[in-house]
Amino acid sequence: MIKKLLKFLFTDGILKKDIAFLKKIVLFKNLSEKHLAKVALIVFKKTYLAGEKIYEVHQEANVVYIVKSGHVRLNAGSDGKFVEAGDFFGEISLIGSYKHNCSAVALKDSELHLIYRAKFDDMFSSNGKAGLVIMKNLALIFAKRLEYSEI
Amino acid sequence: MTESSENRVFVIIVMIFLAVGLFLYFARGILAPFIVAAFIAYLMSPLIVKIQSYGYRRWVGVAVIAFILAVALVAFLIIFIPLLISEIEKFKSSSSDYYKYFLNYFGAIRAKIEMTIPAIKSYNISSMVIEKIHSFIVSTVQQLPAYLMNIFSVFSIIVLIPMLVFFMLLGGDKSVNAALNFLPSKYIETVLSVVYEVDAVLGRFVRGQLIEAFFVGIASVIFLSVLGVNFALIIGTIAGFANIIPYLGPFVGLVLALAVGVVQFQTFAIAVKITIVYALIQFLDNNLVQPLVVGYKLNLGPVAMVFAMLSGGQIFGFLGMIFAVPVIAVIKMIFIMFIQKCNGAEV
Repeated sequence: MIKKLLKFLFTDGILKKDIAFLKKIVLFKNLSEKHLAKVALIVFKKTYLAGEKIYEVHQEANVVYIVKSGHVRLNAGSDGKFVEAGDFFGEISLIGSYKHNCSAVALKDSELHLIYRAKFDDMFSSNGKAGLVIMKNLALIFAKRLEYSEI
Repeated sequence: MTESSENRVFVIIVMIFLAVGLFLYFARGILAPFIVAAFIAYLMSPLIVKIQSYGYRRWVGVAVIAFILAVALVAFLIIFIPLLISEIEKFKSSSSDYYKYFLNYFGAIRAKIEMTIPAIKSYNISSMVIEKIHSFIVSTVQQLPAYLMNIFSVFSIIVLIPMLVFFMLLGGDKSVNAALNFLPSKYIETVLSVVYEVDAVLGRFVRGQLIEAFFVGIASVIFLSVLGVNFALIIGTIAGFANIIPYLGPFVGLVLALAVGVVQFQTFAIAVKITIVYALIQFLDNNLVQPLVVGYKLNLGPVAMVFAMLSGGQIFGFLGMIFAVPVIAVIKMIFIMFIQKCNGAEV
């Protein structure tokens, strides 16, 4: 009983849940618990209402969006893609200051976790290993996409 | 975005900056404790994030930091302050000895000069110069404690600053984030990326500067004590603080140590030793400490830095001088990012 109370007083329950959520994201595969906690601490949580525009085409990409709950649609011309809870988009911004080649709209009320490149870079500068793991995951994601799309 | 609406946004941003600047200028009398508190909170926040990353709640981190700060403050008050005061007292009482030494020294030089240029005798310039220097040094030393007290009244040091630091640390960036959540999502991305970029650069710069100042101060105290130079604690403290000021700072400690050392030992050898020691400290600082802690340079030219420092001092006084360089760096960064955004929009 006392142990439980102490645990409740000292440990951050919200952070634990955030870590458990981030653990399931492909981008953070093989990342240690401690590094996941660091990622969870630089997350900026924002709720977008149904129909709200998240970004538009050619807007500068500075943020990776992770969908905590809800539904997001990415539109590129006539092409489109649905992004569901546990998935992410806007990952090109991790690499550099590029522009979005699609627009993003929240279909339902959606809670997104925003991670800014500036914060990521800052974290990587002191945790090189974590940066390497994330970049490997990212490279794998891009590689798979190439494999399945062309020739 | 169309051109006219972009212009409108630009005008609004400029007006907001002007309004904030004007407000801060008029309220500058009460700013000092807030700035110092924000500064301390800013320095401490990475430590709290570190503790948080082990899974503890934020208040645990704040409690740990508060405990460490309290212990450091008490140790400072008990050990450092009495030592410093006794050194200042010693300096006050022995300053007349130093004065006499310099009088003799200048007397010898005067005799030499007057021998070569007899006309100068009638003007009595040298005694005027000596009088000026003496009164300047004495008045500076006597007024220094009162001046520091003036900036930070006892109330703000003992009550206000610790309280502000505590609440700033406890709140973290929650209040800032809450305010940012009201921004339209169209702008939030750009605004936050600018804010975070500035934060990353500035944080590293400020923390690095402080660690450097500590290093230079402590190294000065140790080396000067080993050499047996009087007032090592005063000189080291001043050298550490002065090191924050670019270009000029490193020489302040050297000049002080040289003046005290030469009078004390009356040899040329001590001057050489002190110069070597300070060169060594600067070498270690530049090649060992700086690459380790700073990791980022602000890329400001010497002229811009000096101009920023002097104008900061002119407008906001002592604190303005210290914070001028980072503030100018931030303005420069925002300006560059804005220009890049505008250029990018045209393509």
